[in-house]
Amino acid sequence: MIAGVRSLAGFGLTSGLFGILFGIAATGAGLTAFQSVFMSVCMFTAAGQFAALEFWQSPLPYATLAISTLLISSRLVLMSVAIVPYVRERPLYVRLAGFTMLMDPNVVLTMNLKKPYDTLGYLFGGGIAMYLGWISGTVIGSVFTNLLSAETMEVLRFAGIIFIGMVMMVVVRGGEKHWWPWIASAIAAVILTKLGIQPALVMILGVAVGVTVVAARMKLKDA
Amino acid sequence: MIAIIMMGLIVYACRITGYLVGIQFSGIDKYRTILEALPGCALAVVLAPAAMNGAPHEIAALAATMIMMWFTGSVPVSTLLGLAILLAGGYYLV
Repeated sequence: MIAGVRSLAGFGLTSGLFGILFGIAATGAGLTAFQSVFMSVCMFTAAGQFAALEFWQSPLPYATLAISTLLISSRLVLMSVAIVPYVRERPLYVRLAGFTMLMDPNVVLTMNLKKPYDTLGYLFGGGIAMYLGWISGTVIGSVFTNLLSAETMEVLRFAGIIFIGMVMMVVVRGGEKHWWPWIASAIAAVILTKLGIQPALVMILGVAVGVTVVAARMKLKDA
Repeated sequence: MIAIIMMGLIVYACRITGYLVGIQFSGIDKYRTILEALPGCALAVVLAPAAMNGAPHEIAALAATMIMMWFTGSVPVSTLLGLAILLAGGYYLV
């Protein structure tokens, strides 16, 4: 677990920065400081939380919030299925408890592990590093709401994509390289987006194209 | 408060659903290659359209972050570089 905390300490710092942005944005959207921090404690997902702010109004649109959270978190379903062969050594309830900290960077780094670590501990520890950063950042942003101007917040709206780009480079740097499936998924996503398809469907179809390319390559190798 | 708890439960359900489905298949190890490719595919699907629709300084910030990450592997350094370009571009180039 400590190895996970150490490995993802950098991501923890970055999560802290994004947590500050979320805290400021949440307070701006009308949440109290307590509600902002409580949301970070319960959800621990930047994309889902930022999206929820878009719909935060009175009365609260519960169905819209639920659907948007489900669609935006669909990537986590893919991450959790990807980690199946790597996390098996503990009782199921321990594994499910450990999965509270499942995020993209710690899944990717756990899959890249070369040494015989306790994989669940590593996954959980890495998540803890990010979780602590995320919560601390949210607290800071919620309390010091004037830390960044509205203009700066607007300029930084692309920061989430930069974070995803960094995680992508963690994938590229370690483990097996699956260039063709990644490129196929990316091209499919661009085409589908240009066609005006909804983002959730773009996610499913784009990943399906990538998986098809891997499966086809596996078949060709076997033949 | 109820809405926040509801959203927290949905996110957790997403975190465990893939795993709970995956462990039902005893032969899932055969599909390890596909599972290894999944995270990259999921990230590429988010990244590519966003990069295509980004402003020039946003694309530059993303590219600089990824290149810095490739060469150094340092998350804080790459983040700070990306955010610096994003801020500089946002304020002065646009």
